[in-house]
Amino acid sequence: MAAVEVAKSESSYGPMATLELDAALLQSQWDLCDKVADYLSHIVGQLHDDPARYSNFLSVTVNELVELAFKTSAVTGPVKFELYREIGLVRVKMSFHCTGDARAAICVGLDGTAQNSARPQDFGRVIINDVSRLSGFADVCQVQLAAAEEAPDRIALTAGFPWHEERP
Amino acid sequence: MNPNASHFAASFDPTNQEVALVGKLRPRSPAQITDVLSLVVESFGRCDGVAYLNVKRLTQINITGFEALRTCLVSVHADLRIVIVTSSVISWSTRLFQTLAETGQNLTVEVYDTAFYPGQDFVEDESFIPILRTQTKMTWRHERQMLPRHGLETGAKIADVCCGIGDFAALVHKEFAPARIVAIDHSKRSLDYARRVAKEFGLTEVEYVYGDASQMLLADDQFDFVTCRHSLQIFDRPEVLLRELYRICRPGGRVYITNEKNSHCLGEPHAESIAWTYAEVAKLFAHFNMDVEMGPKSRRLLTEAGFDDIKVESFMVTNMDGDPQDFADVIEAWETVYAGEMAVRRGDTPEFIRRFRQGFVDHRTAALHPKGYAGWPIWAASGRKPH
Repeated sequence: MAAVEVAKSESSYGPMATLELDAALLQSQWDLCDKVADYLSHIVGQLHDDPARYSNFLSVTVNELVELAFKTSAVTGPVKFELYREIGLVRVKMSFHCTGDARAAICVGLDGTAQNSARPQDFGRVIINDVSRLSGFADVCQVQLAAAEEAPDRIALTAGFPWHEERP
Repeated sequence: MNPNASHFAASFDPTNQEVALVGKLRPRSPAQITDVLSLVVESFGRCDGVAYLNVKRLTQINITGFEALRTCLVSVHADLRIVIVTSSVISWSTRLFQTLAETGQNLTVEVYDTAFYPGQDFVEDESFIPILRTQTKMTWRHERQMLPRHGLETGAKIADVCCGIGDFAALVHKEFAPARIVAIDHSKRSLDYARRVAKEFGLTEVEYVYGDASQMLLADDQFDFVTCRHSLQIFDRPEVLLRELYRICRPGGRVYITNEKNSHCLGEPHAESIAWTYAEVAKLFAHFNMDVEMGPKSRRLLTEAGFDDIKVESFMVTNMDGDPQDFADVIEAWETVYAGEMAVRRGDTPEFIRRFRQGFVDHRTAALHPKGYAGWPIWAASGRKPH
């Protein structure tokens, strides 16, 4: 989904739930990634007619987003999650502070373009690799990913989940 | 410490050349799962021909775990064909593992659905649905009275595992007004029917969930009362199911099961013919790895699964309970499935099938005869999960 469409959509729908964690707290324990992913997915799943299964479907990709924040966010500032329910779609938006190098890497890794930041450097190249794998993973799970830089010094990633996930 | 580790297990079954990964695999680095990767490589190293990677109960995996697994599988010797067995319950699983299969010529993916549910295809036929409804109607007369004795109270949180077409869950909802009721089954067709009926009746509170009863996507310790009716007997590994029923039940809560003993179905007149046929029914199910003689074994099963305060009682559904035609219709449906499909699939001779059918005909006669008596015995048992 293009950044413009995301912004337009957000103006018509407020988030149904928001969660903020201190970045240092998230980074203090790897298992928090798993817990946060399951917690958010569980909330959204309650709206679905098959809650346990839909939560499981969301959690696999949401966990990757949280792991990305664990690896790339700055040690200070909030890591923010917003959940949106729309027609035929659930969106999970995650934003956090990070370096310009990391922001550029995430944008390049997802859609090949850096917006305001400089080209990624050493650490950025590691992130590009992670984000490319995340992008492929999301494709397989039929999840649309988008990234946009947010001022000041924040990146926002949005994952769009189909309400009716295709069954194999 | 990695708490996820407590929710993950890997094992190798040399008899079936199968490595099974169960639970949630979300390591921070491949180094964290070295033992799992070694088990996979070493186990497959001891296999020849075809080996299986069973991931049907792998409920979550992260990219790190998946990539490590990919690397590990690619390193297995090329002569070995590896079949990755996924489950349709985990919606992302088959698609994800298909990408892995595309990287190696010796890797293929199979979606597992029926191996654990040997009886499912026999009862999934839509024509069987009215019979299932009638069966529930007949047993409900008894169970409605019995359920409070097994600890079901108004306002409880209930899970009905292997709910089939969902009629029992709907009746429980109406009678016991639970705080929450989740009904889970592995048949999409049955669940579609259950949802359709629930919608028609304006019943919005029952949560119908598609799932594998042997690895449910439900949290631990959350239900006051867990039911599993007429289903343990059609699983080839009932102890695996009981473990899951135990897991989702809260400490102090109860698990309630019902099972039959088919060889004890009876009738008068024609008692001998009826007895012979139902003894053969038990053997027929055993041929397909199902135990329809399980009823009296309930106490042992619950005890071995770790429950205490076990209660067992039996009841006989008879032609005198309600409309005898209902019972006759059920017997006719049994004949259609058991003699018309299962015996044929087993390869029984026409002579055997003729005699086999005669017992059902006689049972129907007994049910409809003005002086006749026909019975179908069922065992209901429950156990408490210790604190």
